[in-house]
Amino acid sequence: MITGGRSFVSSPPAFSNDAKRLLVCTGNTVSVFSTSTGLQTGELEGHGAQVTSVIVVPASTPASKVLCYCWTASLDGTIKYWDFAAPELMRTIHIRFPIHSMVIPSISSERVESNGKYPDLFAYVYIEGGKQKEEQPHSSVGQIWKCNLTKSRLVGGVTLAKTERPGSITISPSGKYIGIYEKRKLLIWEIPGKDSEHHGYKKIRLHHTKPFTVMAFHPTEKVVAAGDVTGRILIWRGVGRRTFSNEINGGVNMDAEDRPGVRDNDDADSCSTWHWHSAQVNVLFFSSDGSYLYSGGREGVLVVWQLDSGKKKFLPRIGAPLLYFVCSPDPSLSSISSADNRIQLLRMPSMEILKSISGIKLPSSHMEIYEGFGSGVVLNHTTGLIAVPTENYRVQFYSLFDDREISEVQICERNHQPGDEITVKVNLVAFSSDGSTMSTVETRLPEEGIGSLFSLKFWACGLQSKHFSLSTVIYEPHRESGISCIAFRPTGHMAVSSSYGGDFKVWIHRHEIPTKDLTLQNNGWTCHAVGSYKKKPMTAAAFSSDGSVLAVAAEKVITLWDPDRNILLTVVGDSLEPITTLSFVGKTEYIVSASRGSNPQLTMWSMSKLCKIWSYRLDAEAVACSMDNSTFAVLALSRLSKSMEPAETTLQDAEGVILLFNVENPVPLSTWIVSKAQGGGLSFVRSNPRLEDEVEPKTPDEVLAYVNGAHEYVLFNPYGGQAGKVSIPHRRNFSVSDETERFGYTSIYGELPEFNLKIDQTPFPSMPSEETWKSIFSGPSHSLPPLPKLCSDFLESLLERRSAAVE
Amino acid sequence: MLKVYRSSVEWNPSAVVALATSVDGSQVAAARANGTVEIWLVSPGSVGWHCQLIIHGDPNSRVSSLVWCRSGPRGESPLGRLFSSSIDGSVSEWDFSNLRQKTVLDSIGVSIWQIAAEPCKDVQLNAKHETKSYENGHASPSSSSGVDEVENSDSDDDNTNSKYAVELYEDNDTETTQLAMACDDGCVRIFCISDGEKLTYKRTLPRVSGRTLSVTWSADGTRIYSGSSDGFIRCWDVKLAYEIYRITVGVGGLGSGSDLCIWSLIALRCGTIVSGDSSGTVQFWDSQFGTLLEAHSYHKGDVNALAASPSHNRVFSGGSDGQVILYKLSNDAVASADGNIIREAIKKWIYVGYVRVHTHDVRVLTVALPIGHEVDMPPEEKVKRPRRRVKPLDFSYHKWVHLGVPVLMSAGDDTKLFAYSVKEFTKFSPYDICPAPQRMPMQLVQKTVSNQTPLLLVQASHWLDIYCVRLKHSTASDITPGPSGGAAPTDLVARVKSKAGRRIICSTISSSGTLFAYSDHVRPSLFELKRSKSDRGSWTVNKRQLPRELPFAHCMAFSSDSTRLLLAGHDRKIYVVDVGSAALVHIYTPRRKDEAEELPPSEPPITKMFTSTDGKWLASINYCGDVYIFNLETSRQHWFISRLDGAFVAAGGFAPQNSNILVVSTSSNQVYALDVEAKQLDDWSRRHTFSLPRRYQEFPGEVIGLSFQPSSSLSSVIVYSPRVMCLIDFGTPCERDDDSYLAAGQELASRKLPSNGVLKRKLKVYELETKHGGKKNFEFCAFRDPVLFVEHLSENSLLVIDKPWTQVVESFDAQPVHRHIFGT
Repeated sequence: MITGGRSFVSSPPAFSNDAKRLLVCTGNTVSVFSTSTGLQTGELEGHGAQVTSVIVVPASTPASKVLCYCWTASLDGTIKYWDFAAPELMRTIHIRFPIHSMVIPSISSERVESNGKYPDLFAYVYIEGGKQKEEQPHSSVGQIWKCNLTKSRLVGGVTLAKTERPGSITISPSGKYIGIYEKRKLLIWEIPGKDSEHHGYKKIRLHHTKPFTVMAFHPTEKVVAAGDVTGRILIWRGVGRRTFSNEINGGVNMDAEDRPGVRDNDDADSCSTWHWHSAQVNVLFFSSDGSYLYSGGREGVLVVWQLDSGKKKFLPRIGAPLLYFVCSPDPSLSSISSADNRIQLLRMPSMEILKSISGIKLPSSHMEIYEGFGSGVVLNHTTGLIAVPTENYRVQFYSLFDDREISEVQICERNHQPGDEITVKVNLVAFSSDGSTMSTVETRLPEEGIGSLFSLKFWACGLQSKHFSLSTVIYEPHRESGISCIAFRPTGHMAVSSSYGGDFKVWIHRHEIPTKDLTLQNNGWTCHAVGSYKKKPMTAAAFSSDGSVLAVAAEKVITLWDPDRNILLTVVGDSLEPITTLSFVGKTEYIVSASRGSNPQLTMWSMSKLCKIWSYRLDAEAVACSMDNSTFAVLALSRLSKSMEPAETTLQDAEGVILLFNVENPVPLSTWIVSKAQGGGLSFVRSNPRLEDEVEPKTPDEVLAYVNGAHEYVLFNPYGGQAGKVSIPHRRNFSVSDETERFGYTSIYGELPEFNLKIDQTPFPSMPSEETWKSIFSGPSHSLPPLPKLCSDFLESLLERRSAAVE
Repeated sequence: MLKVYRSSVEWNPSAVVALATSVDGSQVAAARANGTVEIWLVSPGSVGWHCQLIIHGDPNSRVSSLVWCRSGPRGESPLGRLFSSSIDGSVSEWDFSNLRQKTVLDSIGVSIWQIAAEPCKDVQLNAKHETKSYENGHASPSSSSGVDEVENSDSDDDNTNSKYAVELYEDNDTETTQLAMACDDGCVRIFCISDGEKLTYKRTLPRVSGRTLSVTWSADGTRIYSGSSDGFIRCWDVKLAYEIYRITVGVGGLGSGSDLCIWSLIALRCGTIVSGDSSGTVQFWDSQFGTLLEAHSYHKGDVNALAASPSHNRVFSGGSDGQVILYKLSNDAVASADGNIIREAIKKWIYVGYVRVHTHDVRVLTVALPIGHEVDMPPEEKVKRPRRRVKPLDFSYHKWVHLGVPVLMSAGDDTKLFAYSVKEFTKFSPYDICPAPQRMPMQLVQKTVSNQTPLLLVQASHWLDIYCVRLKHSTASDITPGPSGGAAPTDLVARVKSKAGRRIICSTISSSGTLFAYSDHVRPSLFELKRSKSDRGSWTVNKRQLPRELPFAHCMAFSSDSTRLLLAGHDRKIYVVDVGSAALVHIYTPRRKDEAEELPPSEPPITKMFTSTDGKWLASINYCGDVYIFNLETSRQHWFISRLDGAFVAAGGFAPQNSNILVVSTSSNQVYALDVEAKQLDDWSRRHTFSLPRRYQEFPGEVIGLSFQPSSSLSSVIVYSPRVMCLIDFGTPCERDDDSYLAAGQELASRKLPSNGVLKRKLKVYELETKHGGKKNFEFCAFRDPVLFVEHLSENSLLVIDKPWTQVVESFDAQPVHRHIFGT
């Protein structure tokens, strides 16, 4: 069983001390990536729930840089201590409450006390208080506790704060202050230099009129920055001078008029506001020398503010809302996590993107499923790839077996502003059975009722099976009506698109032999035939496995056609609701159809008998048929079948069930209960997709791939009991980081480019030719000679030169 | 129920080009592009700004800079003397005793971009006592009679202080104040202000390349800093006239472009120079070495103006992007790593925040200490107000304005003046102190002799317009200040242009509508308006003769029977001319006491005159707020009323019902009804003037006029400001009640120019209107657009002249600052 497709951006990552590894919280595990290659090198497995914090123990001496220890905290209520080089679990501390955030202020100062002992290490954890009673809805559930890591126990009686919901704790780079934001206030505590179990804490509050979303501490000065939901960045200076200073006269300066911008009686000298972001600020980070502030938000632009002058620099076109910005111990490397499940490594002063670690694209909040349009993800049977339409009009190809991104295809052009209105949606993606052709349908959403446009695109795959190139674009293939389904014929170059407008079109791929140069343009997809049945909306379509029969669902009936001659063969059956999914089961003569709505139904039809074999009242989210044998799997939402249960119906994650059927038998072969089934996908995938590579005589085994609504997936062998028999080759070979160490000049500036001295030595063209005026202005403007020089040449060239042969 | 007719006239206010704060910090002079200078101040006992004076200067010479200089050893005025430089290279003094512009330095041949006065050595002393009291900032020294004892002692104290100051001053061996001028040819010229009429030349600093655009003195007066158009700041030794150092102003180390203009420079007491340049950068320099301390480029256009708070730890910059930005000196102690040792404090100028209220370029900034009197408001009532979506703008102004609070003023091309709190700059919204800048004087004649249509006289800068207000075909609306009010179309009847394009100072029209008169800076003129008998449509204007010896006038009025023209001449006498015979009938000299008439006039010039309907009384009011009552029948001065509560008279008039009652509204928003005959306050006034409702005292905006109901039975008056009007019924007592009305009214009035919540506001207006039906005294009615003039047309109809500010903005020469709206 392979699981994958986890979110890389649920929590901020952490760099190792030598900045060669990046520790990313990925669900229940922590994945270790190499920063030089961007590939995964290891994994820390052991937590039982989502890991929320990872803290690398910093190196106190240069020699200890090779030490690879880290602390992790998880929602399962444990704190674990790891050696992530091995990787090996070293210690576990049980807190028994879900930890949402953890900071360890004194982790960097490993001072030895006079008696030769190390002082105790304390962590501050933001836990979700579990023992809250249901009848007190307003009681606070988030609490900050103190934990003695050395002695593996909580420090009793120390609760720094109680909040309505747990959030994240921010720590200052020096470890002297920790702070949280809650609604419209910031709370900042001073952590004493010598932390002990019994200690009083000084606390200040800073207020604002809008809810905060992020905060940051200046490394050296008493400066705190915070971002709010409207995109403003507030910068307080002289924070806590009254409260935190040890002098008694520190609090004299109570003069309200001398604190411009500071609200109420907050303990700060001044507060300035910067407003560039148009939407919520998610990222705030001071550079290590304290002279720059990094900020980012919904716009997907990283802004660098010079703190003293307010000048801005930008790194635009990141393409998705930013979530985290993390600096590494190596000053030239940092990482940005963005909401499209991607971590990008930046070379720092220049802010150029070195590497990007992409997870599977997350379902976006904007991608609400259109009525009648299929769920987003499409699994390719042969190549083991999953195609995910993303928010920014792309389709991402993600390898199920490798758990990493393969490529991306831009379906249509778009602006690089992530937050703006979605105007185009990629509705449907379909593949031919060999994976060589992709077809997409995109919808331009109407603005104020006009301007709606459907376009059907066919893409051809390159030889390396990496890149798709656009082959044919058909605008409005079915006039104004939307396309419900695209299906490829398993054999030959034919596709069918069915539309709600009441017709379907058969498209064929025409191979024009390029006899002349001009006919190359005709190498594309053209409409072969149009069919309709009683003007009924065509809601689904499928080819039989041998390609001889085309089944098109005309609302509640199934029409069978001869695709080549476009002849209606017969009409089968009648269902209660319009059919949404239609599929031939393997190489058999059976069709499985699913209809949804108020009377959902899963029906098995026999083509030979032209009748219904059996049917279930099931709300099928997805249907997958095996290519080879006569089994098929159904992903059904359990909300109807389990409606009797009182408690479980309120679950958010639309519990679903996967049922594996054989055609002849209405009793399912096996059943799996899954979560987050809404919007999920299901497919049989060949377990060793590259048939060409491995010449194996036996038929390829199939595994079932299930992708849930959060785009997490699992691959498993559906033929249950004999799990050992069909072994899925676990092809997760972690790449070994084997890059050569770079030092000196190249470590800072990179390799020197090889200068091509020949280019530099080429002089300006001296224009000896007759028609100087034609070529004198050619070339890029920066390489042209100065204008006075050009002018005389130009005029001279216009003059007729008397030939030298006059004498 | 009152019916409201609305009408609109041409209204072209002119941009503010210079601002200057008087020496004592109490008054602000604003020079406009059309050559007028306004004096703004906060009258004692209130917090609202009052335009005390408007002096019309030469419209052809454009003022480039204004400065108040300490008066010479004569030292009669605590304000100092107001000088202005002009683009044509001349320097003028603005004479408050004659209300005119006096050229004190003929053109030097090149443009003067900025002038700066030498700082006085006793700034500190001034600063100490300036919060005490200058009665109205009165320019005249002989102000003893109307001032009570406490204030006398204050002014004594004041005198001793200034004596001490003078001694100190003489120690420094400088007789006079020096004026440095930044000249277009690259020189800085220094002139001395002497007691004489003219400036005396002192020296010229060496000429440098480029144009000198800005100049400032160091705090001790030994150095001059000048900024030029080629991006240099030069530091000069004043005594030896040599260059100490020069700073090359560059942006971010790019070096100076040849076209980097240093528009503004100020030198702070702590030895920091602040420069604002055309690249939008405000830079702080160490004046000892000329090194850069901080650079802030938050402006998106040129930085036009800089100003420092009195404590010199805040600096404001105003730019052509309409922003005013605050920088603050922060002494951030940097803690070392372990946090125990605090190293020496690092002083840094940090950006704090900006406020953008101007729609056009901000041209000038100044900081004033306008309030010399604690406002004796009742103790702050703790009224819990429900949280509103829109906080009333004006109300916040009342929160921060109090005694001794420095106020920042900004002005620019959008002709408005805004006041900000220096200390709580980011906390409070700015206060629009002049919602209707350069309001044109208007006069309405209700029933003319020729026909029964009302005539409206509008005084523009160079001409007089007479409009006929048509009421018959227009639909009057109820008292709704919204745009749905009935529009009263006005027909232009006559336009009389002044001779040779001279600026008109004052004008008047007789109550019969047949005569009107104006005065420019040379002489007054009288005209007759007739409707020709032949064809009904046309009107004819004939010039009438006036006695030759008449001087030009600051104010004019006709007697109620239109037989006599009364002129307040610039020689501070009041002339009475019989219109029929064109003969001078009598000359009054306003006096404080019944002294000998022969003495030359010593009182400040008269700027307002009112005549009673029975023709018996003439009330003349000078710009300091003193009222002189003359009996026209006996040709004697009847009564002298010194400033009422020390405030200025903002508007006044005789009640039509009882000619003995003079109603006066002061700048501190008090209403007095004076019984002229009996020389005392009227009954109503005695009972109620000192207990007016609070909501009236916090009247939004300055009262600009009164309008009486022209009936003989009712005794009510409408008091109006550009934002609201208020009906006061003298028949009913006024009750003190909650100030929720005020909040509502202010909320209405506080609408900003680009408002999108129009619909919601309109609803509120209607709401207010329904309340108005309750006929309560001191009822407010807010206006949508700035109102220029309100007058009764008849017993129950009202003419309101207003103009939407957006239309006014369209008439400006300068384009509004382009603001990129996100997403467009």
